[in-house]
Amino acid sequence: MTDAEGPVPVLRANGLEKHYPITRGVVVRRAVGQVRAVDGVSLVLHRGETLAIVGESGCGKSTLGRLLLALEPPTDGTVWVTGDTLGDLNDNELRRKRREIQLILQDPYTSLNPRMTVGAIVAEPFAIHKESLPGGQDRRGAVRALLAEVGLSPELMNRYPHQFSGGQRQRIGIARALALRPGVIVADEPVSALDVSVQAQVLNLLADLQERRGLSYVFISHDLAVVRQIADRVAVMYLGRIVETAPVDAIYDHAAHPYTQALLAAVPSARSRGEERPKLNGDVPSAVDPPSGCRFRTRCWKAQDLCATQEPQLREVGTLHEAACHFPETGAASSAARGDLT
Amino acid sequence: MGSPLLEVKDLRVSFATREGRVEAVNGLSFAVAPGRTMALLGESGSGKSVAAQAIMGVLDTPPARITAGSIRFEGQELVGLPEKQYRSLRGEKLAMIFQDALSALNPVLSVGTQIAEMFRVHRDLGRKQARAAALEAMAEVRIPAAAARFDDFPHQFSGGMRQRIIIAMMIALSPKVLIADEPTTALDVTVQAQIMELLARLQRELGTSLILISHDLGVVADVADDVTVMYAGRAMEQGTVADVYRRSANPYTRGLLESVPSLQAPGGRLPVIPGRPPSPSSTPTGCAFHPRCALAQQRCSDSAPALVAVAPEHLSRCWFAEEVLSGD
Repeated sequence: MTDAEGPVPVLRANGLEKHYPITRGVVVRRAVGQVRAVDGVSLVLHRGETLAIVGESGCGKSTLGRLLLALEPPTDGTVWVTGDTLGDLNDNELRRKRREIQLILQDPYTSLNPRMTVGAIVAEPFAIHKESLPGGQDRRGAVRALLAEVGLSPELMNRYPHQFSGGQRQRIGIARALALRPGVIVADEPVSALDVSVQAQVLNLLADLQERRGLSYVFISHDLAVVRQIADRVAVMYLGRIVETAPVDAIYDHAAHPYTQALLAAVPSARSRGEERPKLNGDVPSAVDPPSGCRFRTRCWKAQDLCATQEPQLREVGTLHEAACHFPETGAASSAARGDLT
Repeated sequence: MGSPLLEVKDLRVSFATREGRVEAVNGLSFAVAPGRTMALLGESGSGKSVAAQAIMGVLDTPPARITAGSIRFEGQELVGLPEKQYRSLRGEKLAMIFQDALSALNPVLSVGTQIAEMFRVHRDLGRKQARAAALEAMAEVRIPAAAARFDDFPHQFSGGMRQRIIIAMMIALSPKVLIADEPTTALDVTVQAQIMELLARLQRELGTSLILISHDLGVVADVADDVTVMYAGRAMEQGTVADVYRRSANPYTRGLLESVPSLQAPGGRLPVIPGRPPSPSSTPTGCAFHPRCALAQQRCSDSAPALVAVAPEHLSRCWFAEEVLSGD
């Protein structure tokens, strides 16, 4: 995970914001409000590392992923990928830059052209980036090698996407993402649609590829158990902001933010059976009109007057561990506090 | 376990396809006692949802057909029951909630009207009384500001609130058996916890039996009393949650339990079950799990094992069930 000189950053986001206007009127469209999907996110990803972005639906995690890939321009803020700030690049440069950062989606079926063979799908990136063919290989050879690397028989390259199972389609999506030898992969819920027994296979494949190719992952997920399995660091998002970030063990062993604690407590398991859980009422509020002060206060059992008036900023609560809460649990005290909740 | 309220015996359901008849449920037996929760746990294609539809009498026939077996509810045989009698059971005594609450609601009727309709149709209540009963049901499932939201339409509610509305409709008539087919799969984890807690509370208050259909080992561990682990239309293992999770006597169950990431586990590689679940049209011979099983012998591909007791009320379908059980 770290080089001799320490961790090498490969991706950096600074103050990212993405606001979508809500318009009304058919003839004269006017903006009547804004959805603050991503609202001031900064993060850094190091070489060979997996950073998980977790949160509930509507927290902005997928929008954040699209911003990191420059699939959408941010309203404000910058994304830096190994030497370049994406916003400074012209179209040509951006296209070339995209070789270095690729995307894996939840359901690759919707992103695989049903009329193309698997071989053609995996080869397609080479049509756009001819220079990326590994030296001495033709396209066919490169595709065979990629399919083998993701655990698919190269004999299958003449088949069509519908002839594959969900797990195999995800492998095809991974092979295509690897074609241009990217250093960074943004994976948006890559195993959420898979059967339990297949999910483990794909998680292991991602871990193997990371080891072999030195990949860095931004792993977007709602599934905290999956994240524990694969992540080195975790950033928890709520309503467009990161509310806690820490190395994986710190998140799971002593979460500082009440939202993180509630998320963890809500995961059903044999262990939690019969326990009283921290009461988290209601749903995630709308990102159109987020609560004043701390956005989580409307669902928080620790909220005080201060929380309504002052927005908490990310502050250090432990080693590499930051939380945006006026009343965070810190260090060893937190396990005791989690006991109080139950 | 007490005397069963609902008993499914050797149920077989097949579908007509272009490749001929395909067995989706292949000899499934289980029983649910009053007030208990039985989980049907399985991956896609295991036949768990088809079994639920068969119990509710809502299979699409054709192409589906119950080819054998029996479903007895309060002693009454449901297989072959005329639709008219089935209809009076549904809602009154048997109710079902689905993963996708939005598609189960009428988009052009207010949610209050839809809940009230249950009381008007089944309880012959007048408009006013039905409204009052519906408001009570909405409060019961903790829909905030029920009176103010009575006239809102389904699309104006969040996923979790929609599922609450469906639950309000389903429990309106205090059914004896509630079948919940992946009721929280589409929901966020914090909302999922709220809904499961709601179901558990209603179950306690009403004494309803719950059949929970799920692929989620955590949810099942959390809420079920008993579990039937399904694979390729069959029960692979059956017993109390404690027996099946802690003293499993089946290699498939063991493989599943090991391959699920947990909050406690450290990173590294997960143990995996190789391959993938078979589709109903190509179920392997012998034990349906044998091509993926580390313990498989010649015998496993030659002939299918029966579901046999390895302990009181703990059944496993495996030629090596005893060895697996003692192999802790």
